Amino acid sequence: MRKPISLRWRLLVPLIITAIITSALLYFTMRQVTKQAVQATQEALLEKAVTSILEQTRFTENNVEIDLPYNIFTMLGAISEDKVYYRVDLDGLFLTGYEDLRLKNLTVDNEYIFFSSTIFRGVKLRQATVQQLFLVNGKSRLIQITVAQTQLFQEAILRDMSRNAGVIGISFFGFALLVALLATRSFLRPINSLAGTVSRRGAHDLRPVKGPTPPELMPLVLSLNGFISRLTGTLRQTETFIAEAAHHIRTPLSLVKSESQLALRKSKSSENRKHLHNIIESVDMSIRSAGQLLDHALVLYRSEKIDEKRLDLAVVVQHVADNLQPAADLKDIIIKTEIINTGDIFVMADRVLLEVALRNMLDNAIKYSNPDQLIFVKMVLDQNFVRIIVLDNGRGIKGVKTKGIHKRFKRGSNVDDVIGSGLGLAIISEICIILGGSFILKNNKGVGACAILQLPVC
Amino acid sequence: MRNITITCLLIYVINLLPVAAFEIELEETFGDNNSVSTVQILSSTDSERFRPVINGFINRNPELSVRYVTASTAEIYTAIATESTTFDLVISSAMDLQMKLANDGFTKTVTLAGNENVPNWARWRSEVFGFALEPIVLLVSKQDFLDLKFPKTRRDLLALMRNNPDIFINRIGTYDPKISGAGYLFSTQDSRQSDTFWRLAEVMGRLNTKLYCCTSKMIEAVDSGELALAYNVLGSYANAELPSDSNAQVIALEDYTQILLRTAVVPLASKRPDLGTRFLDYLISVEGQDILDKLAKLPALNNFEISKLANRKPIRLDSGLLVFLDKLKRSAFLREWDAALFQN
Repeated sequence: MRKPISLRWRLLVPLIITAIITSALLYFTMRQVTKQAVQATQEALLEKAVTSILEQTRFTENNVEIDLPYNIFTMLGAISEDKVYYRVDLDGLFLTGYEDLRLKNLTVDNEYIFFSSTIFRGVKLRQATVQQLFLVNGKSRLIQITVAQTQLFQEAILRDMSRNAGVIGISFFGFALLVALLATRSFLRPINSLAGTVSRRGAHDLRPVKGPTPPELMPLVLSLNGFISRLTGTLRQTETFIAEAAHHIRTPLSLVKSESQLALRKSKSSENRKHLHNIIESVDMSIRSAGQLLDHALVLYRSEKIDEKRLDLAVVVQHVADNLQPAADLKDIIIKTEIINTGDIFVMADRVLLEVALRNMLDNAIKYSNPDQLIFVKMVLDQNFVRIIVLDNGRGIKGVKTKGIHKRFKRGSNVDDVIGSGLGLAIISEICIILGGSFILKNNKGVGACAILQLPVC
Repeated sequence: MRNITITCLLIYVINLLPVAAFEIELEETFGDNNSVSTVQILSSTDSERFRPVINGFINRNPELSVRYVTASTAEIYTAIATESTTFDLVISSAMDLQMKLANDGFTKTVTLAGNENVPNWARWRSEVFGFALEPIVLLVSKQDFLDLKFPKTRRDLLALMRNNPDIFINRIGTYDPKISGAGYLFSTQDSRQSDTFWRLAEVMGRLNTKLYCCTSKMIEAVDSGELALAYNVLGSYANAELPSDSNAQVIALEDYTQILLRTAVVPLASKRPDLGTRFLDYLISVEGQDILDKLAKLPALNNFEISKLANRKPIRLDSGLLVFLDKLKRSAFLREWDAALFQN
């Protein structure tokens, strides 16, 4: 398929072609006008010369007297120092002047001045010829007079002129090119700025495109906004569906779990108890997945309408830690939070999102820790950023490929024995992008993993 | 009378026919015999007069020597236009012939280093360059003017000749325009300047004027008292050759004094046009002009004495000069001249 031509070239090419044609026309017009003017001047002088000689021509009884007018010859050389040649013929026979100058053949009854160009001794000449019949003693005698001049002056003027016209033409072309470039740029600016506005948006920013737009671009903006709103609607429906689905799944699952626990207590058969344990474990996993689906839907939803507030980070962290402490208690794990070296740290963030991110980090730490361990949550201020570091003593991620680990439903290669949905890290990563921070998961120096969430402070 | 005219015409026609070799007056070589190259110069100016400039040039260019050939202006024209001579520089006082050489394509376009030394009026294209001036003057014998006032204008001169035929009969000299190219140029230019010229010619004819080939002979004749006056004499020659106690007095007529340009061209046939150009460049250089003016007594282009002459009429270096070289025009002029001068 042919590559589509860029808008810039679509605009530039016709403008440049116009500039070239105009410059060339300008050059040739100036040259032509000058040439004609110089030629006309020279022809006027040559005409004066031949007519003057003709006027001075007198026939005596059997002789002819030719007088070359001194002043006319002086004048011929006055404008330019061009070389002058002449020739006078009587009855078709050479009389005086330059015999090698060719005489233009005129019909006998012509009595006007005839101009022609010729080459004489290797140089281009412009020559004027005049002829007249005289009646002498009843005999008609034909006198033909030619005066010719080189065109070195004309050539010199044309050279100068061409140089000037060339400079003007090229300057004009340069100017036109500049204007064309500027025009193209200014033409493309609204398109570029529109593209910039759209491309600078975050991954989930689906607000309609606003701001001043040239009327010609309005259809594009309107259809873009229409598309965005349709997309937003679809997304919201999906999220609502997921949230509702999670909710609708979680409630009956909780019922199944409590009923199973009840049955477990009553059951005496060890085989039944084993089955019930399996059911409870699966239900736990499902509840957890449903919760994370809910979280994920929440993240996507909040990203459209971020509610940023100045938050005391320690309070938020402590709150999340407190919320998870019961779950940690099941494995006899203690969560310790501390701020290193500084006082209070404030961040500008959406509290709900920040809490979701921290909960997922801590949840992971609890999940992969062995019982009877400590989980540290440290907050370190580093210039304009704060690092929230969650350290556990679990299995870590040694030897695990981390590439793609942040994608939805992707899990590390060493966690098959632990239940999980693969959404946790994806949720954290997406929140990071929304909050303008970054997230790193790496191995601790000793044992366990180290999850670092870095956020800008305010 | 008619016979004379025809004879003159014949001589002229014969002169125009190509001859085996042009007539050389003198040939001299200046500078070291072992020089690398030789500048070939063909000139109408006496080598005696030109010697200081040539020596100056050789001092500046010791690796060069100069072959200086003198000939009459008409011979010079013939040599360049019809013979295959290979001179590097042609110097002549006949502006019209030099112009014709250039117009007819026998000369080279030259780029001079000291281009700005030659004013526009002293050059034609970049082919003919004037390098010295030459006022055309009247020479009178002081001993004949003891009781007479020196003429100031041609009108005075006419009256003087008419009123004193006993003094002036057989004792007036001027150029023979048929023999001398310079003489022809002066006469034709005179005829353009005023009608007085033809009256002057008639009066001169009546007083049986003697015709000369060259200025130096007229100067001698006036100095010795053989002539009472000589009309149209090269001023610089008179000034240079006459001793301070001479009998001859130079008079620049006040109605107009023609100023001739000595010009130089580089012929197209030159084998070393660069050498010709180099010599020409020296002629127009400050040093060359100074030597010309002070030592060679050939007035430089900016000569002060000439610049303050009343009614100086420089002969313009332009295409007009070609007109009197036309053979019909020339024969018509000489016919008139003969009619005025030979009245018997």
